[in-house]
Order: sequence, then structure tokens, then C-alpha cells
Amino acid sequence: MNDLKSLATYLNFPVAKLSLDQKEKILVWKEKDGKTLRGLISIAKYLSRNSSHHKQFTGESIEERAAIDQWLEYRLNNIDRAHQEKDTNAFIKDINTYLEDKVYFVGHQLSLADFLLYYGLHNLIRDLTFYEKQKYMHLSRWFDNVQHAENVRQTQTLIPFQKNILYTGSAH
Amino acid sequence: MATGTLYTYPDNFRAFKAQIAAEYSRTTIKLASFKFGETNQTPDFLSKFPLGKVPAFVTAGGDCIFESNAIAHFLGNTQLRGKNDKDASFILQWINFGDNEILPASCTWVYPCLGIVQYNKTETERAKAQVKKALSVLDNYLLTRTYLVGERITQADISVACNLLSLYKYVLDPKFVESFTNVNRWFKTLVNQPQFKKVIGDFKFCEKMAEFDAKKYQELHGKADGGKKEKKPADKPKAQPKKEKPAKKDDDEDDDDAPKKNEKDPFAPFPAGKFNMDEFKREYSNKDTLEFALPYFWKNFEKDNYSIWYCEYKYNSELAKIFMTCNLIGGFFQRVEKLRKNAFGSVWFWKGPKLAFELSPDWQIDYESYEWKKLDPTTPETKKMVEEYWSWEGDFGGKKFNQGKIFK
Ligand SMILES: N[C@@H](CCC(=O)N[C@@H](CS)C(=O)NCC(=O)O)C(=O)O
Repeated sequence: MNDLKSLATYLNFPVAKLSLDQKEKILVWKEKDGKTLRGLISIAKYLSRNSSHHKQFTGESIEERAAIDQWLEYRLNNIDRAHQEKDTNAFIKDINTYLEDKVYFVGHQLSLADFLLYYGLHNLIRDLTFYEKQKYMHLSRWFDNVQHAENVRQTQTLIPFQKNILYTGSAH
Repeated sequence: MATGTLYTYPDNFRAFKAQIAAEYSRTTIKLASFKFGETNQTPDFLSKFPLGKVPAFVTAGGDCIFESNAIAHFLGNTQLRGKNDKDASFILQWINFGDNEILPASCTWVYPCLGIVQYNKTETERAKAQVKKALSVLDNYLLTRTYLVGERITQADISVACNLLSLYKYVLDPKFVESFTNVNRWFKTLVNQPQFKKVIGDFKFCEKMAEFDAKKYQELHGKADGGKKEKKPADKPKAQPKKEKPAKKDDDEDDDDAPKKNEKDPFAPFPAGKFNMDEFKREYSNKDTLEFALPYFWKNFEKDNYSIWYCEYKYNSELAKIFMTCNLIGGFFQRVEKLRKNAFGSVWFWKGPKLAFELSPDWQIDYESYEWKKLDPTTPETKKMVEEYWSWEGDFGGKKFNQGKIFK
């Protein structure tokens, strides 16, 4: 819930419209006219597409919007549902490789994909050792960059990273 | 409201540093209407910017700033300049790195590929190695970093990226930069930022490393000398027996050379006329142009024996190539030195009705890069043009003449 709250704040929507359906354990966004949306992805997309925020956040082209959707699915299916360490290791490795030649997940600016992946990965990255952070250098670089956008991080704790190479022979 | 006026020719990577900074700080700047080699040689411009170089910036308050990095600093904001002294120092470090470790090698490598200067294998190879070294340093640094200083784009990124523009455009093909993943990622992200794109447009990466282009070089430097570095003409036609007193050492160094016996005077076929070129030049150099030189000129000018021409550098219209004039215009005026006794000005005049350059192969080295228009000496338009062009330099001495690129 924290991530959608932050997203609403980031995009200047009233957080009060967000609630949790206790019975079904699903997030709900209620508009004044009674219109409701359910679930992380639909609410996130609804908010970003209705905001006056810069276009890049939602994706400028059809391809970019599709790529963002893909990463939202990825978060839901691979990150949120990972319970075992081996699942975690697999996607961390994937993401690290993916980010080697990219600053942001999609396009050349921060998008909804970065935003929600930052929230989705926060606890996991918080628990990494410095050695692991260095091992997943590209992921770390991306994460550190995103968390320094204060309007994205909001109340999340700032996670420390080392910019110097601490352990030799393990970079990349 | 505009914070000031920027003087530059189009597509100038130095001006880009400042223009992109202005995009980040959302500062509006006015672009002066500018013609390279003209605007920056007017007395007004030189009084503000004695070097006559661009980019140059006049603030709304009337302060004059030269040096691209200083202009960029002025137009930036706290994000770009660094939020504390430490960040600001690192930003300065990278700006200087770009200017000192990248730019000279970049020019050495890229300019021959554009035909601007001759190719020298040793120098090019050395430049390539320097670029490689600078890129390795950057690459290692950017492994753990998204931008050069802090987590946001600063002037360091803007300036270093601008210094890399022509490298990535002409010579850094995918194979050469293959191993510089981190620099590539960083550079690609930067040139795709809206603030960059607004200034530099859509950036096109080099696909295949450009190499020395002998043909382009010949085109730009004339066919006459087979691509060799231009030689200073050693002899002069003895068109006028009278000697100027040598006031300007640079240009007069060969004044005392005895004219070679066999050399034919290209102006010989034309009637000598009564117009005394040397006397006119003295009027022009020593007295007020408007008050004395111009009246002298029109009083003594013989329209049957002399013709007046207006010259414009052809690349002026070709935006991409305009920066070449920086390097070329000086050379051109050196080469046509021989004409000095018989011709004058940026509006020119000389003996005979024809384009003087056709008279001697020595003068043909690059006159084709210029557009020549014969002016009708009887019309008021011509009188006005002559007056405007010749009064630029007013009371110039020998030195100013050199800078003013006024040929006499
Ligand atoms: N260090 C200066 C260099 C400026 C510079 O060299 N400008 C050239 C542009 S090619 C110029 O205006 N040259 C004119 C001249 O030398 O007459 C800066 O970064 O602004």
C-alpha cells in the first residue's frame, strides 16, 4: 500500500481515495462519483495516465508504454511472489544484467516502472551485504540513483551504497 | 524575460554547454543574429569581447562573459553548479577533464576526417590512444555512478558530453566503444534528455569510423597545392613600385624580398591607371575612414580600371560546416596576401574588370569557397556597402588589421 500512496503523492492525487479491501486483500481506489479501481497495476496505470506529470513517466510511445506494463507485470509475478532465495537470486541477476547499459528501466528518464520497482525491491536491497551490492553493481547503481530523487523515496529509508570498489575480482 | 544575449554560430558544441544549462535552469536566452567572421569582428563586439571569439554572452545587466564554461556557469542553477563546495569542485574537475583530456585529442582525430586539417598518422594514432585513455578513466568512474557528480545531471555531465559530441558522431564506432559500456550508457542517456535534445536535436551515433578524407581536404583547401599545407607566397607581383612603410611585421615580412625576375605580374595586362593604391592605404590606415579614406576613395577611384567585389564565404549558409570558418578564414587571408598591393577590403577592389583570382593560380587555392559578386561602383547600394564594410575597423593599427581580417 505504501507504494501506491507514494505514487499518489508523487503525482499529486489525494491519498485518501486509496484503501485496502480487507476481505479480499486488494487495494482499492475510489473516485467521488463512485467509480472504483482494484489492484496495484490498474490503479498505478490509472493514476499515471491521468496525471499532468511529464509524458515520459507513463511512456511516450506505444512501445515504451508496453515495456512499462511488462515491468509492472514482472514486479507482480516475479518480485512480489518470490518467497525463496533462489527466486530472488534469479531475478536480481536478471535485472542487474538488464540495467548494465541502461540508466532507467524504460526510455531515458524515470518512469512508472522505475518507481514501482524501486518500491518493490526496497526491502530486498536493504538486506543485501556490501559485497552483494557490489556484485549487482548495475542494479545498485540504478537503485541509488532512484532513491536520491526525494519525491520518489519520500519516507522510505535511504540505503547506503559504496561508490568505490571494495572487493576486487568480483565487479560486474 | 531573457537573461541575456548569446553570440554564436549555429551547431557550436561550446555554445551547447551554455544553451543546455539554460534549458535546465529554464532561463530564456536571446540568440544574437550572428555571422561568423563578421559580427565577432565589429568594433562593438570587440569592445565587449576583445578576443573576438564565440560563444560570448551579454547579460541583461550589460555584463560581458566569454569562455563557454563561464557562460554555462552563469546560465545554470544550483543543481548544475553543485549544491556544496565539494560537489562544485568535482564538477569543475570534470569540466576541466573534458577540456584538457578529451577536446585536444578529439580535434586532432576528428578534424582530418572532416578535411579541415591534414592527416598525420602519428598524431592521429596518439590522439586515438589519448581518447581511449580518457574513456577508460570515465568508464571506470561511471561503473558505480549514473552521472558524474551526485545523482543528478550537473554541468559536469553537460560539458563533458558536449566535448564528446563530435567523437561519438564521427569516429567512435560501435566496435571502438564496445568495451566502454558505462560511458556509452551515460552518454546515450544524456543526449536523450529533453533539455539536450532541444539544443542539439536528435543525436546520430557514428556507425563507421570516419577516416581522413583527402577529397574533402582538397575541396576545402584547393586543388592547386595537391593537399600540401599552404605555403606562404614568397614573392610578390611588383604591381606598384612604391613601397609601403612596413608597419605590420607579420604581413610585411616578405615586403623586402626582391621580386623574382621571371615572375609575371598578373595585373600587368591592365592599364596602370592613376589610382594610387599605397596612398589610399595610408589614408585608410592612418586617418578616419568616414572622414578621409572614403571620400579619397570615391574621388580617385577609376571605375574603368578597377572593379569592386563583395565576398562571402560559401560555408556561411551550411550550418554544419560553419565552424570550419574558424580555421579557414585566417588561412585564406594569408594566402591571398599577394593581392595586397592591388586589392583591398572584405568588400574588395582591384585592378581590372575580372575576378582577380583568375589571374594567378596562386590565388586560386580556395577562392572557390567564397562567393564573389561584382558590385556596380555607380550605385548608392555599393557606396553604402563599401562604407559599412570599410568603416568597421576605423582606426585600426597593424594588429587590429590582423584580427579584423580586413585585407589590404
Ligand atoms: N575556450 C573558448 C574557446 C572559444 C573559441 O575558440 N571560439 C572560436 C570558435 S571556432 C572562435 O570564435 N574563433 C574566432 C577567432 O579566433 O577569430 C571557449 O570555450 O569559449
